[in-house]
Amino acid sequence: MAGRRRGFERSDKRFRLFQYEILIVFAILIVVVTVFIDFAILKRTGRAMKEKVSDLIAANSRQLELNINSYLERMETVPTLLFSDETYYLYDETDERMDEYDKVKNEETISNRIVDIGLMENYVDFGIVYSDDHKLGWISHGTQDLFVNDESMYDAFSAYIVNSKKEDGWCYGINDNSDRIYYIKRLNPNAILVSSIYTIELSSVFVYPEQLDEMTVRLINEDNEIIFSSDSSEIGNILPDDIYNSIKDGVAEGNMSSGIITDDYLINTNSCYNGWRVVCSVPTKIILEENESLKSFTIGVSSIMALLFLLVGQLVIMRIAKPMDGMVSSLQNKAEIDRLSGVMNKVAFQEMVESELKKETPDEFGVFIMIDMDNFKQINDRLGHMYGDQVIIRMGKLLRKLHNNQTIIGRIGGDEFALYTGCNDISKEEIESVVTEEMEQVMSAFAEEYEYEREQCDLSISAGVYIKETEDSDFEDFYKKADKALYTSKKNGKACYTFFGKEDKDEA
Amino acid sequence: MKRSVIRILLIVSIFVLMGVLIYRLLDINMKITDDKANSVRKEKTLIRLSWWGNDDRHKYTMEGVDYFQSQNPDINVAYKYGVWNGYEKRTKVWMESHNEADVMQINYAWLNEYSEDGEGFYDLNELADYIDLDNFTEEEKAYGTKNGKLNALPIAMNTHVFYYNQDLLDEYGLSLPETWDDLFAMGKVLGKDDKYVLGMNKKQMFVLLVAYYEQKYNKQMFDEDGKFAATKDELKELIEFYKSMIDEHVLCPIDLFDKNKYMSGEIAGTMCWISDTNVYCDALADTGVNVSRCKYPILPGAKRSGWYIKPATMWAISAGTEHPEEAAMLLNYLLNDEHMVTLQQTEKGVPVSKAAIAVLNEEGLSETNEYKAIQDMNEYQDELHLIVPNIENESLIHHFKSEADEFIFDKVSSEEAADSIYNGVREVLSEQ
Repeated sequence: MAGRRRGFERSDKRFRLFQYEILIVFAILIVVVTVFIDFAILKRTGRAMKEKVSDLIAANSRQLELNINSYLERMETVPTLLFSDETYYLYDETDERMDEYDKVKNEETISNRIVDIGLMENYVDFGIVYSDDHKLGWISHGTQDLFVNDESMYDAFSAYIVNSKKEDGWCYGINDNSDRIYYIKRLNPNAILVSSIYTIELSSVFVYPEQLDEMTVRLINEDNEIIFSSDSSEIGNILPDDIYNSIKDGVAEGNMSSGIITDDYLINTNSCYNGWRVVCSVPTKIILEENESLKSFTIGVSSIMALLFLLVGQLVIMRIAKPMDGMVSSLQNKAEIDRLSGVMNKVAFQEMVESELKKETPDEFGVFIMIDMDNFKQINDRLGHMYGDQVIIRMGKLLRKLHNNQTIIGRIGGDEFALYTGCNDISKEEIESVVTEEMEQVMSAFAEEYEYEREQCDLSISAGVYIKETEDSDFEDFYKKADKALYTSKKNGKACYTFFGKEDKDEA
Repeated sequence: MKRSVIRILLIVSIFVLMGVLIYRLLDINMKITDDKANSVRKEKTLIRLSWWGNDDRHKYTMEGVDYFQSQNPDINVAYKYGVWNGYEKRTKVWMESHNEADVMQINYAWLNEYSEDGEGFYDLNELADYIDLDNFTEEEKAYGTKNGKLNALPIAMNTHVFYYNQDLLDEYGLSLPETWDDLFAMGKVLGKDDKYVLGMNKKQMFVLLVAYYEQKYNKQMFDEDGKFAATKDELKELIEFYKSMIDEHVLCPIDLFDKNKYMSGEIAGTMCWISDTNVYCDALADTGVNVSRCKYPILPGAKRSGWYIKPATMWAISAGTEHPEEAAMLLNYLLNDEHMVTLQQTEKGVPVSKAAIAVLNEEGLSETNEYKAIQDMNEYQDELHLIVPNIENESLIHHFKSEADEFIFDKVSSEEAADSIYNGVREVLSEQ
């Protein structure tokens, strides 16, 4: 019975393990499939979103370009008002033919004009510098302080007149100054107009939608110096390399406008009419922030679904699979169990022992015992076959009663039984005495149980014991060796047990 | 039976728990989306601010305004600024066209010009909930009061001070001048090397001449009512004195004056407002030159100093502002806030506001040249007169200088020039 239960428990455990494996595989499958589908959808929407935002940035960048163009044009228009009268723009302070009085009167007239037209914008500087560095109008201390050690302000600013037609130019970063931009216009061969505005003023020009509040907007010059940035800490620095590298090809090809989508940024750049560029950039991760939160949401939901599946699966197993377990176990029992003795039949016994042997390590011991009833034929002949069956039934019960779950018990012939016990907690020296003790118990228990049958028909048992050695692990081999020992017991007059010895070994 | 009931209850609670979890996840996600969808743009209150000044003032004022906006996110401040030269004309255009800023830096003289009856600017008394008026004494508030209405609050008090390049004076063996004759004596020495004793702009030159006039004739050039008191003969003598100052190298011709000439030692001294100490004293001292501060020159026996004191500049609110409360918040920030005071330091002069003084005292205000000049001013404050607005009248000064130039360059006689000035000044004043 113990052997049968043990067999059932093992196969039941296997079956349950299999059920759990199936459940977990399905749960993982749910997570993987859900996440895969959602991620695929999100990737697609992410791409679409990037393109849409890129379009938005492009439109915005274009608008900022128009704004800055319009602003720069306005700043250029005011100085042109000095060309309304020759007195203003043709006056040459270096002309030695003029007397002091004429100079004073002319300069007074020009200064008044500068005051009048310079009021139109927030100019920091708005004045005329002559070739001898004489100044008229507003040339701020800040600008004057940029030119030390007799450096000529006139020469320095004249170098920035690059537009040969209009004879003007914009400049930034004069002597490392980064707080203002200058517009220079030639009035006559010996005079230039110098006007400037603070770069901070550009914040009113660079107004963009609040929806793009993560966008960094920059105005850069031809040398990639940042004239203005919505991130004020960048002003005066060089455009960051990662952004410059993304736009440099477009700039080199002379594109007026280009949009670039990289792994890190969505960038758009537009060229202003004076050669400066508007560069708008948004970190990609900010655009896809919502997608990222959707990803974690997907993972969360699919994990909950998987958990739910596991719980439901467990419930199904409890409600449906358990009764099936019973049915399967019952069928299995029928196939494996000898119906008369209640222990395993020969096939099941052999399978179970072989499976046990596979699990055992070579240095583990095993004891294989074969028991045969002596004179059983006389029971059938004298007491009848029905009685003979009862003897077998009682023998099965007796063996199950004497052995624990660790022993595999089988009926391998009409009145022949076999037992196998794996031993890993006993030393080689001890094992023979332990087995001897056990066999003595079996012999005496049998004698007690079958006292009547012994008196009537001389019923006894003979046994052959084989203790597995390290080098062998074959059931057939065990069987033969135990059978040989059993034969020796029979030969020695029955009702005894014999260990398979060295001499048997040689014989075997 | 009992076991199956427990089992059913367990299963139901698991399902409810799962449902709640999924709902929470969905809810959080929906909220994020909702929040974004609901982020509508709030209209900010636009306050316009205007001021004049130099680079430093522009920069720190813009920085201060940025901070104010960060502290008051519902207020957006737009600004207009420029240099003093021409700013008066700009203000006139704004005031006459009713396009003035909500909060304006104004000159003391403009109170008379634009608010004779006290209606030209907002009455700040009505905004006492937003402006800490306790930082100002009654006397200080009186400077900005017209017809019982507090039109403006003074930023600082100001008078003129003379700074000299002491190293240059030592080089020529000269000492600081006390009288006008001392100045001419210095001009003789420095003129030999084509250097000048003093250099200044047009407005300061006029103040200098007014002082000389009032010391000499013991009367105000413009009385309290703004009336022009000088006679043609007096004007003739005045422009002759003016020409002699130029000819004898006491005063650099106004059109040739350049701060760099003073910085480089071509001009020994200058006269400026105390509030410009950093421009003319500290800047020169920073180059390693010893700079001396000097009191105004006097005419021996003069009974009146002819020198004036005034609120340096003032803050006012437009009478027509649509947002008086927000404008008052900005005005209070500009005058009394620790952050703004720290940025401003004494650039506009030693502040009047008690709160501002307390902040600056902690930062060692008494060590500054400007503070020392103010201390000097306090010592002889009784000799100073409260400024008469016409002394700073741009059109009048322009007219005076222009006509005087005709005489200086020998185009007309001193009588003719004095005559033109006399008529021109009366004409300018009659147009007010």
